[in-house]
Amino acid sequence: MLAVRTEGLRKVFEQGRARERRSHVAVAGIDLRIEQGESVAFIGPNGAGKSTTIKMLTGILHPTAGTAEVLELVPWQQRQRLALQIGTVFGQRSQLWFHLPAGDTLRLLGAIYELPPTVARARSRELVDRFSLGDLLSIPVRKLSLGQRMRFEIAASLLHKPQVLFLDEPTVGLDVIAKAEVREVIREANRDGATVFLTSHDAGDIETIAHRAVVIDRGSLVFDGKVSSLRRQWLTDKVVELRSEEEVTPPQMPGVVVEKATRYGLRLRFSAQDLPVRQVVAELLERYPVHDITISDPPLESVIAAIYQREALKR
Amino acid sequence: MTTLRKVWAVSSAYARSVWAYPGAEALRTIFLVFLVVILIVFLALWRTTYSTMDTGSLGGMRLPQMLEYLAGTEAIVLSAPAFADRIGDDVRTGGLAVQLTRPISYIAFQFAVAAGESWPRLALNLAVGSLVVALATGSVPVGPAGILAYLMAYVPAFLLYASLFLALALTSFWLEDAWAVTFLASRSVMILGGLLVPLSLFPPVLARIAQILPLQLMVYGPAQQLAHPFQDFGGLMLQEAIWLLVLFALLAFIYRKGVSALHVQGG
Amino acid sequence: MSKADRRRFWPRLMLAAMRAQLAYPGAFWLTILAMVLNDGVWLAFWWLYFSRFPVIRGWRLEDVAALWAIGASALGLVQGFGGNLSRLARLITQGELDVYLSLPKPVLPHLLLSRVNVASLGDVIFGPLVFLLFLHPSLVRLGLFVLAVALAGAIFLAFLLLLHTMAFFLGRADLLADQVTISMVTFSTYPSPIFQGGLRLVLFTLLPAGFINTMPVSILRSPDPRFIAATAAFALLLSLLALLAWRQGLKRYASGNLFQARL
Repeated sequence: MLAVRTEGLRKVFEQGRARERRSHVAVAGIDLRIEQGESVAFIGPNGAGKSTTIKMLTGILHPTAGTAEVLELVPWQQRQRLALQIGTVFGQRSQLWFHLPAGDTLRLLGAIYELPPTVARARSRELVDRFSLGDLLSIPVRKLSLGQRMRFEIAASLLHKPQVLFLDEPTVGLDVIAKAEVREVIREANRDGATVFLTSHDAGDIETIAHRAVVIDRGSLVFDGKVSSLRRQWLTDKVVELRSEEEVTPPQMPGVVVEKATRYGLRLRFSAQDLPVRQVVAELLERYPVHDITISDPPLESVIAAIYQREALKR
Repeated sequence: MTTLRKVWAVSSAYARSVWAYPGAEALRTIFLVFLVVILIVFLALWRTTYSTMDTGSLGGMRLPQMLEYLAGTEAIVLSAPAFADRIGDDVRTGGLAVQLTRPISYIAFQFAVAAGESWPRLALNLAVGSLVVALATGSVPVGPAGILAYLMAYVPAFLLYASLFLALALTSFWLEDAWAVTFLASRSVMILGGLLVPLSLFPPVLARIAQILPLQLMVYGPAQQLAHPFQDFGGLMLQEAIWLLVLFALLAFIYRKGVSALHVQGG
Repeated sequence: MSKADRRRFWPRLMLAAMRAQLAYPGAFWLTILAMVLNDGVWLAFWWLYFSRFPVIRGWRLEDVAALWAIGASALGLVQGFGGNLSRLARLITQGELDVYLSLPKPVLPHLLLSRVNVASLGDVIFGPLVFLLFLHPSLVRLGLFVLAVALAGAIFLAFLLLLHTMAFFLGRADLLADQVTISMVTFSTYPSPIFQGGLRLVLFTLLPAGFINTMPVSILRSPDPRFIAATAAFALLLSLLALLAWRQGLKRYASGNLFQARL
């Protein structure tokens, strides 16, 4: 059984009132297959159609055309049945009760997900322990910090042991430590067998959580593959870091950009498509008494920036 | 003189803000829709009442005058300033301490804000209300004299209303929330001020009690002038002046007590 | 999990909604008290009015008191325990249905019962109080009162739901909803016979306040089976219409999209 399968999934929003009606193609026909147990990152700038896709897959939005199945259920037709088997976290919207102690929400969600009370209690205890939420159970949600609240949101979404977990920007607005905690929790859920489908702008989220990356650009898929090959394929750039035994002066080589220069060190960047790696390295070895040299792909951060910039240029 | 200039600056800024913000805009159309609906209902109610009693005049008013009177009372009540929330917030958040450092008296500032918000609304309400009455009854219910007398009586009436409610709102220096007190007072103004039933139609004993209280001066007094321009006008103005002195004194007393309480406790 | 367990969810939800409001007990009780007094002020107006004009087209003070008892109870129950009803248009426009749509419960009852509106609880107290104190309760009259409240509640619920559902189709409907609501409530609280002609027709169709302001006479004072049947049929029709609009609307639900702000 596939976790997610879509064919030609499309969503067009009609906007404005009668006379000045405009349509906006948010998702332009997406084909996607995700096996159970995968962890997939959905990448693209704001407005590319990520959230719209997730909302169709969770039954919140009805598509304009195309088909989708999540765990072999059609989300917008079998919404309630599907909801029992998936978990959702929308970073911008809370499913917790603002004025009630967080523990009460967990109990209420146990009833919403139709868990027998004993099972619900055991499962909450397990999650509370694992996420170290014990001290926070009696505090009203409005008094929790954003990081604490997010840990509860994710714990709440795992209460019923969902088979697929949809996370829409789960780390938005969190500090470094809270981010790390949230990522760890999601990875653990994935290790326990849950399929994870996540959107994020944060390279750290994508690298630590996802194995597979899907890039969406103005409603269409433009890349679908391993996160590691995203780095190689999207940017053909290479980064060379070099330490010399003597003081260096930055080289003047056509097609090579000096990103950083110190007394004994250099960081250079070039496109492997235009300049063969062999040629650049040979020239550097000739020029400098090289003590150490590393060649690497650019960090994911700049890959994502490149994706977003390409998007901006096309507009 | 400079105080007056400052008051004018604040008032006109707030008057503009009434029209400028979409939120205020929404609120205003709600008020206007309610005004139109309630006048349609009043027309139905009082037309029935006049025909049931088989009379042309009730409480000294013919049907169009009665409706214009009710439009006048609703116009005042629907444009009344809301002090309690604003001042409650000022006291709770300590914003009052900031206000006190401004080179304008806090009381004058609050009056200026209230006038800036209320007066444009009053004018709009009266215009819409009169139009509805004119269309519904097919007669012009009020002339320039009536409107002039109404507006002239409204200014001291507004100051009375503002003084009373500002004084009540300032009880939030001591009370957790002055909301309950001001809410009760506003409902009293509605009943004893003659919002839906003019004082001239009250049972005699209650009418006498209402006449003694200043609440009727805030609503019934000006609205009555729409039906009977400049009738007993001097008496009305005198009453308003006397009560203004009393309520100003009360306001000053509460304000002084409150500020010294603030200084003792620290905001 | 058994069916009974599943049904038990709804009272639990309502309890949670109530407890969320009781987080501020002072404000909770003060608001309720204020709303009871507020409703009382309206009865005081009518007392003033009827002390001068004792009978208007067959209506006495008692009939208006009955109207307020029925209307406040019905609207209070609907808006009090369906606390999200009066904000529904705004919730739809702002995409706040997402959370309810991602949970395995029917969206409409889950959404409505998730919030308690404290001010309306004042109405819930005021209505029955007036019935018990001033309207000569007997077992038969209590039955008729409950029937009237149920019918009025059904009409208010279906009408307000239909109104707010327009947000799915018009984009924004919160202002419209507030305006029509205040009109509906106003017409519902004045004696039926004062409205004649075309207005009367409107009040039994587009703005169905006429059914409600006829109840004190045609249900409580001298029960009229034909009126009761017609009101029930109208309530049923309106409910079906509202549910149909809701289901069609959900298909058009656009959630909250960032690009809406960007265009």
